[in-house]
Amino acid sequence: MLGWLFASGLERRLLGGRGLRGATPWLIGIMSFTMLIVGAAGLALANTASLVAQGTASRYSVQVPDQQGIASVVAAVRSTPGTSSVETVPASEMRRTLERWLGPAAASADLPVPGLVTFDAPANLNAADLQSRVGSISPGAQLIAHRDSLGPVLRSLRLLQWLSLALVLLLGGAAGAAVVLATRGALDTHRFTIEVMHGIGATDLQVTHLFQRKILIDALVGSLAGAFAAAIVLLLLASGAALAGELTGGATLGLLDLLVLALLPFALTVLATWVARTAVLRSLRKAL
Amino acid sequence: MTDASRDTLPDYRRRIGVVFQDFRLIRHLSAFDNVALPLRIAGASESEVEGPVREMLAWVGLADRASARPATLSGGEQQRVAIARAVINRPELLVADEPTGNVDAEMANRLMHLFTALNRLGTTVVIATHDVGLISATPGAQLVRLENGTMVDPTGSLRNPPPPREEV
Repeated sequence: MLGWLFASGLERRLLGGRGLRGATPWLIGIMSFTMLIVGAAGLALANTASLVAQGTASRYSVQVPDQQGIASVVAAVRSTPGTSSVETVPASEMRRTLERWLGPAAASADLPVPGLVTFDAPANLNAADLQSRVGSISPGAQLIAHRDSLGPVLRSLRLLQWLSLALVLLLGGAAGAAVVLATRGALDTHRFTIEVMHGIGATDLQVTHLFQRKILIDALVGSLAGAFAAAIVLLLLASGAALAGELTGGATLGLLDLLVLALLPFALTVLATWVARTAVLRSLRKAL
Repeated sequence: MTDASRDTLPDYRRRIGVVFQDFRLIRHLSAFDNVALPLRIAGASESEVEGPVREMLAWVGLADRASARPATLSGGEQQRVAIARAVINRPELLVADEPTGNVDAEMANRLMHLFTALNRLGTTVVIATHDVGLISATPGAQLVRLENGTMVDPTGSLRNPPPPREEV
């Protein structure tokens, strides 16, 4: 079934030693490396976005202007059907948080420290009703859905995720264009051999198979080399927890993600081979 | 032929052998591989290639140069490799463009004998040449003169009646 893939000794000699080699494996290698890094970043961003979305989907806060009345707010939240994990953020923690912006002044007893109640609620929470109730207990109290406050961040993450996908596709397109140029160059180099082969009855497909095999081997070598280099870089990034955290937002790549990444070099090889085959066939039909 | 579709051309080309004045041998292939090329392109297996190619090389007197590259062969040897390649598939028609243009008189005579033998085996041989004397001296050869791409003597000049064709 895969016999066409493996050239006989004569077929290898027909194109001589160099064939498409030269810059092609290097170009494919660089594309493969970049695709894997960008793809890994995109998948990590997607995982991060999912983690954030899952973590915030049912999470709410009630922000109270001061600590007074916070117990009543907590009672109102607890009495709401479906709520769980109702917690009051301690005033001391609020002060520590404020210290980041206000410095030592945050420790002043004169400083009014807002109260904060966090809780989980189901999707069918009647937010308007709860807002109305907590507002009547503590004027100025505000119900905040975490998914709304983190919406812009999530949108940015999704945008970056799509940008990664677009970059991977763009790199695939660039690799295809490079293969077309390399194939045309190889066709020019081997024009005499092709003319002789055609003259004695070779079909376009027979000629195409020669180039197809060459580019397949070149693309496979380049793709795997690029993937190997990318795997080393990704492992180094993953081992540096702080740096990986910066890159991926703490999210890791799952088994499915790793499978997708592992398939990328092979997809690139298939793409390069298909592009070369199409380019050779078109060139032969135009030129001869 | 000019109206034939691209897909049918390879089949026609396999039935026509062509000997070019400049040989058009693939320089990075050995004499053996050059001669074997039409068989391999036609899908012959290696076991089907070896015997006929050795036989053909022996027929053109190059049995001991089978592994030589074209660059290491003389003009006459390259011409014979080109002829061997053109006839290895037993074509129905052999077209030779100045096949004796690059060889000395003795080799030219030997090549004409090869073409005559091939013709006796059933192949129509068309030779384009300026050497009228050589063709005139070939028994059974029909001479047609072309001037500016036009057949000047369309009836030809059948110097001698062709000998009876041998059974193949």
